[in-house]
Amino acid sequence: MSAYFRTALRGCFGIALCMGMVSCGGSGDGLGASSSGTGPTAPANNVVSVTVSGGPSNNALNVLYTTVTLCLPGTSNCQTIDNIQVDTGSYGLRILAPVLTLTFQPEVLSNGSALVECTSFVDGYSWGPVALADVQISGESASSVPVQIIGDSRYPSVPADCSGSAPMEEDTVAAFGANGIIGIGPFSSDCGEFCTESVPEPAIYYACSTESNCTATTVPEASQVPNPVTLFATDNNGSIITLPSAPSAGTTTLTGSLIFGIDTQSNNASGTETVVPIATSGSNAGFITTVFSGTTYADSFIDSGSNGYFFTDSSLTTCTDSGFTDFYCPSSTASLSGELQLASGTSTVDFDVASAEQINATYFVYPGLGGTNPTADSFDWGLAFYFGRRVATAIDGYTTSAGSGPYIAY
Amino acid sequence: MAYMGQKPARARGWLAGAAVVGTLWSCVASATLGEAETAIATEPQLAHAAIKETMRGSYRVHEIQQSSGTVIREYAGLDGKVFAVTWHGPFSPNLRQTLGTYFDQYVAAAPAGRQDRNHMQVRASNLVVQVGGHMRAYSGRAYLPQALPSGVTAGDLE
Repeated sequence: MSAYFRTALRGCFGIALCMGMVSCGGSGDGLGASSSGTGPTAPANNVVSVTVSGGPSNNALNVLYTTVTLCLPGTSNCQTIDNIQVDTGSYGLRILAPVLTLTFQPEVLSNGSALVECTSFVDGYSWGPVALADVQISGESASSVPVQIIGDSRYPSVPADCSGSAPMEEDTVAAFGANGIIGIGPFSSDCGEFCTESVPEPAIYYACSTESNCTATTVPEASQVPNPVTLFATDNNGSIITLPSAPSAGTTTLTGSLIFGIDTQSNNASGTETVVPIATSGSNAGFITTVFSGTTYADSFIDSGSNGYFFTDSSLTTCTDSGFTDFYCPSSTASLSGELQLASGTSTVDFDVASAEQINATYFVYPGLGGTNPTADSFDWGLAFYFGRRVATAIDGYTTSAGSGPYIAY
Repeated sequence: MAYMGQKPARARGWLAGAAVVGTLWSCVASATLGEAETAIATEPQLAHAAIKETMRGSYRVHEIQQSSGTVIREYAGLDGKVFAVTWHGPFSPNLRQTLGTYFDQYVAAAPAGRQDRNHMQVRASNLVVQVGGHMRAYSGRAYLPQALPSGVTAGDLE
């Protein structure tokens, strides 16, 4: 808990403090469009501070965190939780059970069983019930949102299918690397229509009649864990992350803004940014296309939840330090560029990769972090892509003045 | 979001096929590394997925199109043993099932603490597992380097 509160003080704990930081902090990324100099400007209600920091265990690298408030549905009995990872590569709000002081009730399915979820990331799986909570973040709110409670002692038995989905169990704050995660990527839910009719293998959703008697189940879409942005009253078609640039040597922390909505308020207007469409059908659904060094990578993505650039470049040396297995450690910084496929033409993105072993141990921000990509068709543009940029994520099925989601724009 | 995405067919011909119906519960009883290749004719569960088989010289490829949209390819040598499995689509396969007896080795070797949720790579002399992607979009492959047929490289495993 000591790390938890130390980080909380350095980061952003509580809505009032967040708003104060945004309006007084100087960078004003999220609010620039509304400042006229003709008097006090009320803070936008759709902006929350986000910080790249060491996280709850003070050991994270290039991980973006924010603060959310959960309330028991229909009450003012609320808890504010910091160190929630901001992830444009997943969907849904998930909280680690040990940080909760309130007791949220699991959703009950029509057969009377509780709804429990297995969330699989590539490195690990997380198991826990889906509970309903009122969610508040910045001035945005949504009622009775399905939220996964990870590592909940009420459902201690992880099904074999779930533990077979990825190598590591990530049901504690230390293992998960955050007090929770808010998935605000370009789709509306973590499964969608498919899970209303069928069960993938391994399953995502389970009906538990007792704490350990769980069977895979289909789930109505309204009961699935949604991208919470889609439930906000008006700022619900996407979000924008703005972060300042980071020095090439890295730095301790980096603070910016998460702005909800696109073209819904004066502070989230689409300008003339570059729009990168995300495929919605075909074998590359969910992905964008990158051309790097003459090779086309059709399974690419831009993802605040990846901590580096992950791509294939055989000319770059990999690290020897076992703590940086498969990361790049070039002897000098490599200045590189890739092409992102647009609806028409391409956009060049310059980026640097520096030695992961040279990171100052007290730094939690390192823009040159890169590593090999184990999948042959993929280029992953991680959090460093967001440094010095204003990156919008438009959600599938929603429109903005720049077009229809899903897309990423910058 | 479409779940029925399918790569352009690379196969030279269909030897077997089945309608895509129902859930996928049991069809992934196929494609286990190091074990016998999928016996299409004898595994009724495979009616839940579309399968095609292609002969490529020294090995066979079974392509299993799951109704979820995920495509799993199983590579088997002439001895009938699976030496590689690849996958691509909105859902990862059950790796405990896909890796079979190699799953525990994968778990033990998986590097912890990298704070990288979206890529995982294990390379041992007898086992390579490479996985990447993010929620609703994954790809990966697992193979036994010592069991690759002569002339076959990792690059042939799509």
